[in-house]
Amino acid sequence: MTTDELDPLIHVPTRLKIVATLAALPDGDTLSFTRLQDLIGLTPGNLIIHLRKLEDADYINSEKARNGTVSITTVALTGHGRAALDAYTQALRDLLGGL
Amino acid sequence: MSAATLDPLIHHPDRLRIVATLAALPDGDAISVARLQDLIRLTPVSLISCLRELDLARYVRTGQPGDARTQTGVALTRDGRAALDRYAAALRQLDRVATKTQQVPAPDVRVGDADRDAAAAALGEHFAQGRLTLDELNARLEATLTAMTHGELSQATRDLPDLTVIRAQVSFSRGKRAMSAHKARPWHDKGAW
Repeated sequence: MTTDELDPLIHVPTRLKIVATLAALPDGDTLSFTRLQDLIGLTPGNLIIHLRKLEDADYINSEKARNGTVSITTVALTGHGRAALDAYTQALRDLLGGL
Repeated sequence: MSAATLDPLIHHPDRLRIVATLAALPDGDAISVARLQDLIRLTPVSLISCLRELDLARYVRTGQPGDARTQTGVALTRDGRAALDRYAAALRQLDRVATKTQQVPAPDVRVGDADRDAAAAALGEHFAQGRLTLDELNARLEATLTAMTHGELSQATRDLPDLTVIRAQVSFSRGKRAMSAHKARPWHDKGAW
Protein backbone atom coordinates (compact mmCIF):
# COMPACT_ATOMS: atom_id res chain seq x y z
CA MET A 1 0.00 0.00 0.00
CA THR A 2 2.96 2.29 0.48
CA THR A 3 3.45 2.53 -3.30
CA ASP A 4 -0.10 3.82 -3.56
CA GLU A 5 0.65 7.04 -1.74
CA LEU A 6 -1.42 9.89 -3.08
CA ASP A 7 0.89 12.62 -4.34
CA PRO A 8 0.24 15.48 -1.87
CA LEU A 9 1.17 18.05 -4.49
CA ILE A 10 -1.67 16.90 -6.74
CA HIS A 11 -4.09 15.89 -4.00
CA VAL A 12 -4.98 19.46 -2.95
CA PRO A 13 -8.39 19.95 -4.64
CA THR A 14 -7.48 23.18 -6.43
CA ARG A 15 -4.23 21.81 -7.80
CA LEU A 16 -6.00 18.62 -8.80
CA LYS A 17 -8.37 20.75 -10.88
CA ILE A 18 -5.49 22.66 -12.45
CA VAL A 19 -3.58 19.52 -13.36
CA ALA A 20 -6.71 17.72 -14.62
CA THR A 21 -7.63 20.71 -16.77
CA LEU A 22 -4.16 20.93 -18.27
CA ALA A 23 -4.07 17.17 -18.81
CA ALA A 24 -7.14 17.42 -21.04
CA LEU A 25 -5.14 19.43 -23.55
CA PRO A 26 -3.41 17.52 -26.33
CA ASP A 27 0.30 16.99 -25.71
CA GLY A 28 2.26 20.17 -26.26
CA ASP A 29 -0.76 22.50 -26.13
CA THR A 30 -0.84 25.40 -23.74
CA LEU A 31 -3.60 27.30 -21.97
CA SER A 32 -3.53 31.00 -21.24
CA PHE A 33 -3.54 32.09 -17.62
CA THR A 34 -6.86 33.92 -17.98
CA ARG A 35 -8.56 30.97 -19.64
CA LEU A 36 -7.31 28.68 -16.89
CA GLN A 37 -8.60 31.12 -14.32
CA ASP A 38 -12.03 31.16 -16.01
CA LEU A 39 -12.20 27.37 -16.08
CA ILE A 40 -11.17 26.89 -12.48
CA GLY A 41 -12.77 29.95 -10.95
CA LEU A 42 -9.93 31.14 -8.75
CA THR A 43 -8.61 34.57 -7.95
CA PRO A 44 -5.39 35.39 -9.85
CA GLY A 45 -3.40 35.49 -6.62
CA ASN A 46 -4.56 32.05 -5.59
CA LEU A 47 -3.95 30.57 -8.99
CA ILE A 48 -0.43 31.99 -9.16
CA ILE A 49 0.53 30.43 -5.84
CA HIS A 50 -0.68 27.01 -6.93
CA LEU A 51 0.95 27.29 -10.32
CA ARG A 52 4.22 28.27 -8.70
CA LYS A 53 4.16 25.18 -6.50
CA LEU A 54 3.45 22.97 -9.48
CA GLU A 55 6.17 24.67 -11.47
CA ASP A 56 8.72 24.24 -8.67
CA ALA A 57 8.07 20.49 -8.88
CA ASP A 58 8.45 20.64 -12.67
CA TYR A 59 4.87 19.44 -13.15
CA ILE A 60 3.99 22.42 -15.31
CA ASN A 61 5.71 24.89 -17.56
CA SER A 62 4.76 28.51 -17.79
CA GLU A 63 5.87 30.99 -20.38
CA LYS A 64 5.38 34.70 -20.52
CA ALA A 65 5.15 36.23 -23.98
CA ARG A 66 5.22 39.99 -24.38
CA ASN A 67 3.28 41.35 -27.31
CA GLY A 68 3.51 45.14 -27.33
CA THR A 69 1.76 46.35 -24.19
CA VAL A 70 0.03 43.02 -23.58
CA SER A 71 1.79 40.13 -21.96
CA ILE A 72 0.30 36.68 -22.07
CA THR A 73 1.21 33.88 -19.72
CA THR A 74 0.64 30.40 -21.01
CA VAL A 75 0.72 27.24 -18.96
CA ALA A 76 1.23 23.62 -19.97
CA LEU A 77 1.66 20.28 -18.28
CA THR A 78 5.15 18.76 -18.53
CA GLY A 79 5.75 15.10 -19.26
CA HIS A 80 6.74 14.74 -15.64
CA GLY A 81 3.47 16.32 -14.52
CA ARG A 82 1.42 14.05 -16.77
CA ALA A 83 3.21 11.00 -15.38
CA ALA A 84 2.56 12.24 -11.84
CA LEU A 85 -1.15 12.68 -12.57
CA ASP A 86 -1.32 9.20 -14.12
CA ALA A 87 0.30 7.73 -11.02
CA TYR A 88 -2.07 9.73 -8.85
CA THR A 89 -5.25 8.65 -10.66
CA GLN A 90 -4.03 5.06 -10.66
CA ALA A 91 -3.47 5.21 -6.91
CA LEU A 92 -6.92 6.71 -6.45
CA ARG A 93 -8.52 4.02 -8.60
CA ASP A 94 -6.71 1.31 -6.66
CA LEU A 95 -7.98 2.86 -3.49
CA LEU A 96 -11.58 3.31 -4.55
CA GLY A 97 -11.80 0.14 -6.60
CA GLY A 98 -9.74 -2.29 -4.62
CA LEU A 99 -9.13 -3.64 -1.11
CA MET B 1 -18.29 23.13 -10.15
CA SER B 2 -16.10 24.40 -7.37
CA ALA B 3 -13.31 22.55 -5.67
CA ALA B 4 -15.38 22.66 -2.50
CA THR B 5 -17.62 19.87 -3.78
CA LEU B 6 -14.79 17.41 -3.15
CA ASP B 7 -15.88 16.56 0.40
CA PRO B 8 -12.85 17.63 2.47
CA LEU B 9 -13.69 15.07 5.13
CA ILE B 10 -13.25 12.27 2.60
CA HIS B 11 -10.58 13.90 0.45
CA HIS B 12 -7.98 13.74 3.24
CA PRO B 13 -5.67 10.86 2.15
CA ASP B 14 -5.86 8.82 5.36
CA ARG B 15 -9.60 9.22 5.74
CA LEU B 16 -10.08 8.43 2.06
CA ARG B 17 -8.30 5.13 2.62
CA ILE B 18 -10.41 4.34 5.66
CA VAL B 19 -13.70 5.13 3.93
CA ALA B 20 -12.70 3.23 0.78
CA THR B 21 -11.70 0.22 2.86
CA LEU B 22 -14.96 0.24 4.78
CA ALA B 23 -16.94 0.73 1.57
CA ALA B 24 -15.50 -2.52 0.25
CA LEU B 25 -17.27 -4.39 3.06
CA PRO B 26 -20.78 -5.69 2.41
CA ASP B 27 -23.49 -3.32 3.63
CA GLY B 28 -23.83 -3.33 7.42
CA ASP B 29 -20.66 -5.31 8.04
CA ALA B 30 -18.25 -4.08 10.69
CA ILE B 31 -14.51 -4.55 10.92
CA SER B 32 -12.36 -4.48 14.04
CA VAL B 33 -10.12 -1.48 14.54
CA ALA B 34 -7.11 -3.80 14.76
CA ARG B 35 -7.92 -5.33 11.37
CA LEU B 36 -8.50 -1.90 9.87
CA GLN B 37 -5.16 -0.79 11.18
CA ASP B 38 -3.50 -3.81 9.54
CA LEU B 39 -5.11 -2.98 6.23
CA ILE B 40 -4.36 0.72 6.27
CA ARG B 41 -1.09 0.83 8.20
CA LEU B 42 -1.67 3.98 10.12
CA THR B 43 -0.39 4.59 13.61
CA PRO B 44 -3.11 3.86 16.19
CA VAL B 45 -3.19 7.52 17.14
CA SER B 46 -3.85 8.85 13.64
CA LEU B 47 -6.30 6.05 12.94
CA ILE B 48 -8.27 6.88 16.07
CA SER B 49 -8.30 10.60 15.31
CA CYS B 50 -9.43 9.96 11.73
CA LEU B 51 -12.16 7.64 12.96
CA ARG B 52 -13.29 10.20 15.49
CA GLU B 53 -13.71 12.85 12.80
CA LEU B 54 -15.60 10.44 10.56
CA ASP B 55 -17.71 9.38 13.52
CA LEU B 56 -18.58 13.00 14.35
CA ALA B 57 -19.83 13.47 10.80
CA ARG B 58 -21.78 10.18 11.14
CA TYR B 59 -19.87 8.70 8.21
CA VAL B 60 -18.80 5.71 10.29
CA ARG B 61 -20.20 3.89 13.28
CA THR B 62 -17.76 2.78 15.94
CA GLY B 63 -18.10 0.76 19.09
CA GLN B 64 -20.61 -1.79 20.20
CA PRO B 65 -22.77 -0.37 22.97
CA GLY B 66 -23.53 -2.68 25.85
CA ASP B 67 -20.39 -4.77 25.84
CA ALA B 68 -17.18 -2.96 26.67
CA ARG B 69 -15.07 -6.11 26.37
CA THR B 70 -15.72 -6.86 22.72
CA GLN B 71 -13.29 -5.43 20.25
CA THR B 72 -14.44 -2.15 18.83
CA GLY B 73 -16.00 -2.56 15.42
CA VAL B 74 -16.12 0.06 12.70
CA ALA B 75 -18.62 0.26 9.87
CA LEU B 76 -19.58 2.73 7.21
CA THR B 77 -22.99 4.32 7.73
CA ARG B 78 -25.50 4.94 4.98
CA ASP B 79 -24.50 8.63 5.14
CA GLY B 80 -20.86 7.69 4.74
CA ARG B 81 -21.55 5.53 1.73
CA ALA B 82 -23.63 8.28 0.13
CA ALA B 83 -20.86 10.80 0.84
CA LEU B 84 -18.31 8.53 -0.82
CA ASP B 85 -20.59 8.15 -3.84
CA ARG B 86 -20.90 11.94 -4.08
CA TYR B 87 -17.14 12.21 -3.74
CA ALA B 88 -16.52 9.78 -6.59
CA ALA B 89 -19.11 11.62 -8.70
CA ALA B 90 -17.34 14.93 -8.02
CA LEU B 91 -14.07 13.37 -9.17
CA ARG B 92 -15.69 12.21 -12.38
CA GLN B 93 -17.15 15.65 -12.88
CA LEU B 94 -13.64 17.04 -12.59
CA ASP B 95 -12.81 14.90 -15.60
CA ARG B 96 -15.73 16.44 -17.43
CA VAL B 97 -14.79 19.98 -16.47
CA ALA B 98 -11.37 19.26 -17.86
CA THR B 99 -12.70 17.99 -21.18
CA LYS B 100 -14.63 21.22 -21.59
CA THR B 101 -11.38 22.91 -22.55
CA GLN B 102 -11.57 20.86 -25.76
CA GLN B 103 -14.72 22.58 -26.91
CA VAL B 104 -14.62 24.70 -30.02
CA PRO B 105 -15.34 28.42 -29.49
CA ALA B 106 -18.59 29.94 -30.80
CA PRO B 107 -18.68 30.49 -34.61
CA ASP B 108 -18.69 34.29 -34.36
CA VAL B 109 -15.61 34.42 -32.14
CA ARG B 110 -12.63 35.98 -33.90
CA VAL B 111 -9.61 33.84 -34.71
CA GLY B 112 -5.95 34.73 -34.23
CA ASP B 113 -2.86 33.80 -36.19
CA ALA B 114 -2.23 30.83 -33.89
CA ASP B 115 -5.71 29.42 -34.73
CA ARG B 116 -5.14 29.96 -38.47
CA ASP B 117 -1.72 28.34 -38.31
CA ALA B 118 -3.11 25.38 -36.39
CA ALA B 119 -5.94 24.96 -38.90
CA ALA B 120 -3.50 25.20 -41.81
CA ALA B 121 -1.24 22.61 -40.18
CA ALA B 122 -4.26 20.34 -39.72
CA LEU B 123 -5.15 20.69 -43.41
CA GLY B 124 -1.56 19.76 -44.30
CA GLU B 125 -1.91 16.68 -42.12
CA HIS B 126 -5.19 15.72 -43.82
CA PHE B 127 -3.51 16.16 -47.21
CA ALA B 128 -0.63 13.95 -46.08
CA GLN B 129 -3.12 11.31 -44.95
CA GLY B 130 -4.83 11.36 -48.35
CA ARG B 131 -8.10 13.04 -47.41
CA LEU B 132 -7.52 16.06 -49.67
CA THR B 133 -6.24 16.51 -53.22
CA LEU B 134 -3.60 19.16 -53.86
CA ASP B 135 -6.18 21.50 -55.43
CA GLU B 136 -8.53 21.11 -52.48
CA LEU B 137 -5.67 21.72 -50.10
CA ASN B 138 -4.73 24.98 -51.84
CA ALA B 139 -8.30 26.26 -51.91
CA ARG B 140 -8.87 25.44 -48.28
CA LEU B 141 -5.55 26.83 -47.17
CA GLU B 142 -6.46 30.14 -48.72
CA ALA B 143 -9.86 30.12 -46.98
CA THR B 144 -8.17 29.22 -43.71
CA LEU B 145 -5.51 31.90 -43.81
CA THR B 146 -8.07 34.64 -44.58
CA ALA B 147 -10.67 33.43 -42.06
CA MET B 148 -11.74 36.04 -39.50
CA THR B 149 -14.00 33.94 -37.26
CA HIS B 150 -14.09 30.39 -35.94
CA GLY B 151 -17.19 29.82 -38.07
CA GLU B 152 -15.24 30.57 -41.24
CA LEU B 153 -12.31 28.56 -40.02
CA SER B 154 -14.43 25.50 -39.33
CA GLN B 155 -15.91 25.72 -42.86
CA ALA B 156 -12.54 24.70 -44.27
CA THR B 157 -12.39 21.58 -42.11
CA ARG B 158 -16.14 20.90 -41.98
CA ASP B 159 -16.04 17.49 -43.70
CA LEU B 160 -12.78 16.35 -42.10
CA PRO B 161 -12.32 14.47 -38.84
CA ASP B 162 -10.95 16.57 -36.01
CA LEU B 163 -7.30 15.65 -35.53
CA THR B 164 -7.16 17.18 -32.07
CA VAL B 165 -10.12 15.18 -30.90
CA ILE B 166 -8.71 11.99 -32.35
CA ARG B 167 -5.49 12.55 -30.48
CA ALA B 168 -7.27 13.44 -27.28
CA GLN B 169 -9.49 10.37 -27.49
CA VAL B 170 -6.48 8.14 -27.91
CA SER B 171 -4.86 9.46 -24.80
CA PHE B 172 -8.13 9.31 -22.85
CA SER B 173 -9.07 5.80 -23.84
CA ARG B 174 -5.61 4.64 -22.92
CA GLY B 175 -6.32 5.72 -19.35
CA LYS B 176 -9.80 4.23 -19.35
CA ARG B 177 -8.56 0.93 -20.67
CA ALA B 178 -5.81 0.77 -18.12
CA MET B 179 -8.50 1.36 -15.54
CA SER B 180 -10.89 -1.37 -16.62
CA ALA B 181 -8.00 -3.78 -17.16
CA HIS B 182 -7.22 -3.27 -13.52
CA LYS B 183 -9.02 -5.93 -11.47
CA ALA B 184 -12.69 -6.02 -12.42
CA ARG B 185 -14.44 -4.89 -9.27
CA PRO B 186 -18.08 -4.08 -8.75
CA TRP B 187 -17.03 -0.51 -8.16
CA HIS B 188 -15.76 -0.26 -11.71
CA ASP B 189 -18.89 -1.85 -13.08
CA LYS B 190 -20.86 0.98 -11.57
CA GLY B 191 -18.64 3.32 -13.52
CA ALA B 192 -17.38 5.00 -10.38
CA TRP B 193 -13.72 4.95 -11.46
